[in-house]
Amino acid sequence: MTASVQGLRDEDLADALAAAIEGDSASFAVLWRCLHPFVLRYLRVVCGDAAEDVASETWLQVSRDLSRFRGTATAFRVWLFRIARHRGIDENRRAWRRHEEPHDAVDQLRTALTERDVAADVVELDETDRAVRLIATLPREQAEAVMLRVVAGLDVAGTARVLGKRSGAVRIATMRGLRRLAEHPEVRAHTDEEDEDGP
Amino acid sequence: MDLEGPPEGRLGELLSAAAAPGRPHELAAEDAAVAGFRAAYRPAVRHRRRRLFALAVAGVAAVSIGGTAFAATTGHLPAPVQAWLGGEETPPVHTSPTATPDRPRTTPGASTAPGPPSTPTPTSTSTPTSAAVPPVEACQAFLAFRADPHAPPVTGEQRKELNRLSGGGEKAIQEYCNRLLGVAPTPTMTPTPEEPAHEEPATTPTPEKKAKPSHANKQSGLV
Repeated sequence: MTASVQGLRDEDLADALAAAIEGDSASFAVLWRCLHPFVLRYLRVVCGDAAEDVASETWLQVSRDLSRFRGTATAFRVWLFRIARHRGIDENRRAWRRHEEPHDAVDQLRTALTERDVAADVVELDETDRAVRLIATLPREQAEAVMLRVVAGLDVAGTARVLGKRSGAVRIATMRGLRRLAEHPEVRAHTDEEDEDGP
Repeated sequence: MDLEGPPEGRLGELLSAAAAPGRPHELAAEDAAVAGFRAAYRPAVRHRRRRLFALAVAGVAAVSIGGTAFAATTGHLPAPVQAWLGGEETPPVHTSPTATPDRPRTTPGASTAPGPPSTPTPTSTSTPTSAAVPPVEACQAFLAFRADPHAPPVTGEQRKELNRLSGGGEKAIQEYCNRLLGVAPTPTMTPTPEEPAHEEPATTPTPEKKAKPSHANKQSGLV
C-alpha cells in the first residue's frame, strides 16, 4: 500500500535517521516532518483529544533515546509507533484515574470528541480529519490496525510488533476494520450517491 | 479484503485522505519538537568518559605500584613485608586476607594489588626465568578476558600458574602479562574502574586510613 505513504519512503529517511542518531537536529526535523502527522493521527485513534500532548511526549522520548537506537528506517518507524502507543496507553490510564468510572472515561472522551467534531464538521474538518474520525469509531483493535497499516504505512510484521500481536491477528483486524468501514453509513451513502443507485 | 491494492471507491478515498501528507497545522509544532530534541538528546559518550576515567585510575595505580616495587627492592618496606616477599615464593591469593592480616600498605592506591607486582624480579623487564616455558597462552587468555568480559575465561590451571609467576593478584598478573607479551598497558586492560572508583573517595579524605590494614585486606579479598 505504497500510495498511503507518500513522502515516507524509508530510503529517503535513512540518511536523516543516521544523522539524527548522531545528534543533528536538522535531520531530526526531517524525520519529524515526515512522520509526525501520522503519529498524530494514529494517536487520535488511541487517545483522542490527548493526541497532541502524547505526540510531544513521544518525540521527547525518541529524542532522549535516539543515540542508542540501532536499526533501519523501517525499524525506526516501528520503534516510534511503539513508543507512541505506550505513551497513549499511559495517557488513557491517567485519564481513567481522573474519572470516577474508569472504563467509561475513554469512551466518554472519544464520544465527546466525536460529538464536538460533528458540530465543528461544517466549519473546519477536512477530508483527512473526517477519515481519521471515522476510523476511530471502529473497535479499538481494528482501528489501530487500520491506522498502522494504512496511515503509518507499516507492514503486517511491523504492525504486529507495535501492537504486540501475531501477524495473523493483525491481518484479521485490518480486514475486519476495512470491511466495517466499507459498510459504514457515511461511506455507503457516498458510494450510493456516486453510483446513483441508492434507495 | 487485502491491502495488496488500495480499496476502490469511497473507501479508497477515505483511506487516502487518512494517509494524506501532513497539513500545515499538523506541522506547526516543528520548532518546539526540534527544541525538545536539542534539550533531550543524550549523546552516547559515556563509554569515552569511562575510558578516560579508567586511564586516570591506571595512572594512579601504576605510580603506586611502582612505588611499592621501588620500596621493596631498596629494602624500605616494613620488616614483615620484606620477610613475606623474600620467604614466600607463591603467596596464596585467595587466603591472603587472613594469611597476612597485618600487612601494611604504602599507599591506598596500591590496595588493588594484594601482593607485590612480581616476586622474583620486581623491576625486571625481561621474561621471568622461573618458568621453563612462558605461559603466553595463559597471558593472552587473561588479557583478553580483562579487555572483554565475553571472552572465554582463564582456566583454573592457567590462573594458578599466573599467580605463581607473577606473585598473585589481578594487578600483578596483568603487569606480568603485559611485560611478557610486550603489551603497553591500555585503559581497557586495567582493573575494572568501578573498584578503585569506590575505594578512592573513601580513602583520600581520611589519610589515617593508610595505616589500617583491614581496608586493604578487604580489597584483596575481592581479587
